[in-house]
Amino acid sequence: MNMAEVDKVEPELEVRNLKMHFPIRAGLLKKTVGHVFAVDGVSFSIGRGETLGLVGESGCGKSTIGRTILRLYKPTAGSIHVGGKDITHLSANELTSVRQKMQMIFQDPYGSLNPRFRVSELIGEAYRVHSGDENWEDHVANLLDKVGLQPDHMRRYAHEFSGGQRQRIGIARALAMSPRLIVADEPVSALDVSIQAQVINLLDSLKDEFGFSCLFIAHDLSVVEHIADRVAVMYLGKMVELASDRELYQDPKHPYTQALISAVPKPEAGAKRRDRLILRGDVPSPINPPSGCRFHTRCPHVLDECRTIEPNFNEISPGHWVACHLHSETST
Amino acid sequence: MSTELALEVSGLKTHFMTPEGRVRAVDGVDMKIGKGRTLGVLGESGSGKSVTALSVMQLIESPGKIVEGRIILDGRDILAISEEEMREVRGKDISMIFQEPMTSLNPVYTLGDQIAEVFMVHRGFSRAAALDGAANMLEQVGIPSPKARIHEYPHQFSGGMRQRAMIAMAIACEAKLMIADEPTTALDVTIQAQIIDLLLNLQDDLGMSMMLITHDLGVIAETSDDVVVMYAGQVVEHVQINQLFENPAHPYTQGLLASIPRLGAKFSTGKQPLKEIPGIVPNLIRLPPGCPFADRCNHVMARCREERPPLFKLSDTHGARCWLQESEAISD
Repeated sequence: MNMAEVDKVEPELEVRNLKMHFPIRAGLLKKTVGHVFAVDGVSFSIGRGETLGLVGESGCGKSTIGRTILRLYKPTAGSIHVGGKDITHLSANELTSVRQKMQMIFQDPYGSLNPRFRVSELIGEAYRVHSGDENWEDHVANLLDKVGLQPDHMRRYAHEFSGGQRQRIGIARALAMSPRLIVADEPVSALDVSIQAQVINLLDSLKDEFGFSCLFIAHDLSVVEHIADRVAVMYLGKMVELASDRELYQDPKHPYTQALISAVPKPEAGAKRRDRLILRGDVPSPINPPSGCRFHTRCPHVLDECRTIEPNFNEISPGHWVACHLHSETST
Repeated sequence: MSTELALEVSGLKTHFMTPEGRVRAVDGVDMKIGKGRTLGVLGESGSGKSVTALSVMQLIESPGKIVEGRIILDGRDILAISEEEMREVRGKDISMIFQEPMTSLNPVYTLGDQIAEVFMVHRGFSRAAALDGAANMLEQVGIPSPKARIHEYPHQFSGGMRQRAMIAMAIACEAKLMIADEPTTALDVTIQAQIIDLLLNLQDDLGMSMMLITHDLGVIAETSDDVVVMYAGQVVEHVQINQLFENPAHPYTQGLLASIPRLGAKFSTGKQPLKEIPGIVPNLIRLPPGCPFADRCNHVMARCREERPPLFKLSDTHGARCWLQESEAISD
């Protein structure tokens, strides 16, 4: 099974057959009684300066992928290369220098900023320590300006800011070490509608200016379409489809992708009672995922083989990957 | 509208007396819900949409207080009745569902017991008959094997199933008005589609009226007949659903509509930056004397900062609280 995806240029991030299983422990002796198969064999890459959108519903493993790539977890299997370097098995010490080049923007602008630190420290601490630059505050002032805040905001504490402003601080912090890869995990979903657009536009313009690669994780398909160059769809720990933004949204192949896009409520006149695909049932548990194709319990096009045979992740046209028996003819 | 009204709220003011000052969470709100119709209440956090709903239910707790206004439910002013009579109204005449069903369900009682209680309290059923009724309700909201599941506890249900159970409880007494406060916000998009579908079907079957509170323009479009847009404790625009999208009158409504990314837009018009609404929501303790949206409005005039605009009537079904509409306004 060749799941490799060949990129023309050397990718910034390359993930091969990544698995992240969490043990479930129970009883007095904390015996392992099972596993949560959060991420179960996922391969993809992100090119230089490219933004890959990662969508899926809660529990599909999209956040776990983001955290595993940054090596906040030790992967169960597979490999992670960042800038050509294998970081899969690096120790905590070895990771210190790599982490400067990989940063994360979190969903919760309230929980992710230490309330005891001034903004200058929140943003500039890592830079000050690593660079030894005595004028590190100039760097912070410059970053604040880039994210649309005032330089004199650096004397304040996080609680003095609104949600949108805090997310700007989180973004400035992520940029402080000039990272090559940013994992943004639901960066706008906690923000009010009128503030979301401000932060999305900010991220877009910073991407152009700083040229970092980005894994943009979100459940909001409209936001991902707007910001991503390519989009991957996850279901129960598996990637089910990966394609360019246009192909994924305008010509989705996997029945789950089709249902996801169809389910997005349309903010337009006449949307009430419009025809759409409504999936039956709930997402099964990642502790005991269905056999064969994991989507077969909800799929409107289910075939016999879907219940027993797991579909390969095939490239059905250049750059368009799908894991579905309906689209496997081309590969066999 | 000449149709009969299920609910009419007029001049409602609900304030919270905090140590920092008086928070004018709801500050002169008018809204009408026609019988059998759905009124969408659109607003961001702090706009007063949930406090309006809780005021209708009279579930405002100290330091909050309804300081002014009338709430006419099916011809009766429920602000004038005793707490005992109001307890009858809750559940029997108005039911309410919330964003996070887990917080409104009791974790130590089975779902059957919790739904059966509604039948026992409001309709005087025996326990056995009430449990039968509960199973019927679960069946009506599409929960599989309801006879078995009435013996399960809330934590044994998925998020979508819990919301279905909440809806079952809400319709158990055939209340004429259902208030749904962000009923799908905590749910995944494919489950959200199921719940929206369920609410629309139940409304057809039961003929109930509905107040649906949300921040999501897509959810509004797919559920509502009429819409009120709230900002800083006031209704800034009331309008029929198609007119909301085709002919929005208030700059805030226009700004919201322009600021959201829409599926497909990037491919039909090329990628454009989103149109931002600048600034942040004003502090409800120190509201400016004029229009609360003035600081963020791109049509602001000198008068907007001095004088709060009244609601100008644009047609029988359309009104906007904006000085720009003064010349367009018709008299009553």
